[in-house]
Amino acid sequence: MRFWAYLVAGFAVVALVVVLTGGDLVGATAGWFHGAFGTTYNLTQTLVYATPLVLVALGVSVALRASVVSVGGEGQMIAGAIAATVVLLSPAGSSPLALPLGALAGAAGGAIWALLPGLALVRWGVSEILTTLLCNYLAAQLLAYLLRTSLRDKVGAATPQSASLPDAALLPMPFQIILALVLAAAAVWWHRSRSALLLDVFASRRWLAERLGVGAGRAMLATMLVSGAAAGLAGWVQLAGVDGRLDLGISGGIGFSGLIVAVLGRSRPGPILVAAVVFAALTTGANGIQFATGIPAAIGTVTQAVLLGAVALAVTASRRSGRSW
Amino acid sequence: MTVLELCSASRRFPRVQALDRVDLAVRPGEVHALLGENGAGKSTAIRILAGLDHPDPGEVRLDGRAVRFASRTDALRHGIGLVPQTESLVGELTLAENLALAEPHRVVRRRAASRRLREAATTVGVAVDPDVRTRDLGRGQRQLAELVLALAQDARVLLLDEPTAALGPYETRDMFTRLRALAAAGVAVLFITHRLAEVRAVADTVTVLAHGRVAWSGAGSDVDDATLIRTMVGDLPDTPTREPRTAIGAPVLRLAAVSADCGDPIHDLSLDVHAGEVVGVLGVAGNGQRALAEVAAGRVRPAGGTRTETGSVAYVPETRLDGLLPGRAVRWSAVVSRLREPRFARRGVVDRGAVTRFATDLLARHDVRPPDPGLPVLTLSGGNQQKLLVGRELDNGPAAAVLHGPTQGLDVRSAKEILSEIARAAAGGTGVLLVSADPGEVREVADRVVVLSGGRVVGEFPAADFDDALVRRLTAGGDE
Repeated sequence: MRFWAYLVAGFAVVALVVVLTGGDLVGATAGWFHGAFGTTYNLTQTLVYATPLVLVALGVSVALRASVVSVGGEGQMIAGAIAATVVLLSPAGSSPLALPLGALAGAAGGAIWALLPGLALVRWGVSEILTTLLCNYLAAQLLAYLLRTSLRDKVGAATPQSASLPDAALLPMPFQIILALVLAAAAVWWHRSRSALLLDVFASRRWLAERLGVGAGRAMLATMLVSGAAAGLAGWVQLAGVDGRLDLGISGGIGFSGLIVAVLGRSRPGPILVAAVVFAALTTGANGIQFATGIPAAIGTVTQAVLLGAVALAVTASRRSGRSW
Repeated sequence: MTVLELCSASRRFPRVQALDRVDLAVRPGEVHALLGENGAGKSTAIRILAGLDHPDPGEVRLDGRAVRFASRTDALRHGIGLVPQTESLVGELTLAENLALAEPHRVVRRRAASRRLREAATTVGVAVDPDVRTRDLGRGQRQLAELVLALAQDARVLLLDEPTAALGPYETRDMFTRLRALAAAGVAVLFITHRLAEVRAVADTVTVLAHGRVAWSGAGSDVDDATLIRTMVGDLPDTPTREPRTAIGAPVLRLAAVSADCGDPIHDLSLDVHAGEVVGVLGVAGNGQRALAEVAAGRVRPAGGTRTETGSVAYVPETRLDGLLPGRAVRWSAVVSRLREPRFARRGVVDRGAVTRFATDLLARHDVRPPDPGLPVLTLSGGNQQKLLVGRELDNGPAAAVLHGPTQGLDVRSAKEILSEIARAAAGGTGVLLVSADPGEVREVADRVVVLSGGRVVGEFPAADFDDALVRRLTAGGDE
């Protein structure tokens, strides 16, 4: 209840900003809706942008159940995309198994990128927030290096990018959305499972969980690997479903946005789907606002920020009133 | 004559009438004890006096005039100091810094704060160093430090919410000496307690609250214990009479020369608990109780020595919420140690129906009230939270059980019920290690008593030979 009140308040703040700066609120709303959902093309753009957000957010939600806060989605996406590129540019990329192989490679790449912070957390108690964040920079540098050296497209110009993926490796359009829906359904099941409940116990009363055989190391490492794999999968989706080749902009901030979507959806699969579409629509619809009213498209980013602030407030308020979960 | 009073004060919360037309007056130079069961309205009364809450309807009078404090700070400006039940000091800061924090100045005046604290400490005769981080003080010292802190802020009325709940008998006595000294200096003292002995030891005036009403009020010398208990709780359940047990079995939990450090270390400590036996551990708080309990329960691995268990070991930690899942409904706390059992999940998914049925049954068997598995844990009273925790831990006949201060902060009735649970578990063959600050309850339920001092066992005797003087000498670290 309170949560919705904060969200509505968030939208109200944005509306107020629009009105106070002399904007046309009705026109802006209509423009936004048209830009995000009005045509088949616009709708598709929105859903395509929402898909990797869903994947990253689902992974983050798994880790959050064990109180593990992974902000490494960005780096894990890059690692997943690199791994997928390597596999898909090999002869395997032209085989009929190219899609599952690409998905596997992406997930494995993301998981490997989560392994290092995971081990540091389990073995030495190094804050995962710090290490996952730092690993993002490592991944970005590795990507830049590879795109200028071994993965560089030999045919193309000087732009640091890989060769195009073979057609067999490209992800046809509705498929990635189905993948996101299937994984969301699996997440619904998992969040109601006993293992998820045990992670809740682990997150709030570690000794009770250990008595039930939930080892600290395993719980934290497993959830980090899962969230890494999900982000790596998102990297593959972006690679094979949108870009068609590896370039420097492969992650495009989706790793961080996915974290915001997880928070907006309060770690629950259903709300995450909605939050991802709304979040994506705020980006894709922003141009529509600019076309319709002349309000700069940055209003989309402003709205995303205000919503994040509203949700952060809602979470803090519910925690202070003692109703954490 | 009266400095601070409640006049026909009522306070209603959703579903409970916490206070119902209560009159209560504190006078300078007097120690006033506020008695009552958990949930009788004692804390509400004190919160209102301290400016944390307001009567509705009713009024608070200061020096005979009706007042309405805006906050605790406002009340403090009028000379009313509160020592709350949960510690309110910032552990990372020194006492002087804590005082500076409480003051309205923008600049922290550490030196001045420190000087005023020393003056206040001298008034009550407490040796508290204002320049040590408060978390490095012992628990008893911290309680006294809160007292000194209130005094340094020129309190002429002191409100103490269960100041002795966490203290052992000898620290309690020390606290009382200070309270008497304060009264002699003209301060009005009002304190909440569950323990009748404390009323006898220190109080001039007694007010008993029951169900939000004043059930009895007058001079302590005018009333006997039986009457006080009756006005407080009605008739008590019978205490299980304890025959010295003959059917004590093989060891179920053995500690051999264990050492551990949980901020409160134990050294080379050896102790066996046998099946069907209750071993009571006594001592001044902070002498290794915590380390002993945590190691015995298997939650902390000992740094040296060995621990052997023969079966499951139940554990009721010192802080009861530490054993519960406070943010969730009662059912999850009830089932949490048995979540692995197949009946609580179907194809991997948690079976809420089965969990609820189990919890309902557990609440009924251990008399947790209200017996509603859907309520949030935090809506239960302390006594019922504890019954839930103890009930869950002792429910399926564990081989051994470690209970750390299981009746701390509970009213007489709830405490008795917990002790009965312990006695029942022992009769069923569980070996119980009862770590307690209360010699009375150890004497009541234990078969054997172990005295802890400086992290070592300094004495051990059958409960039948219980001797208060001996225990006191041993806990004080004297010779055996």
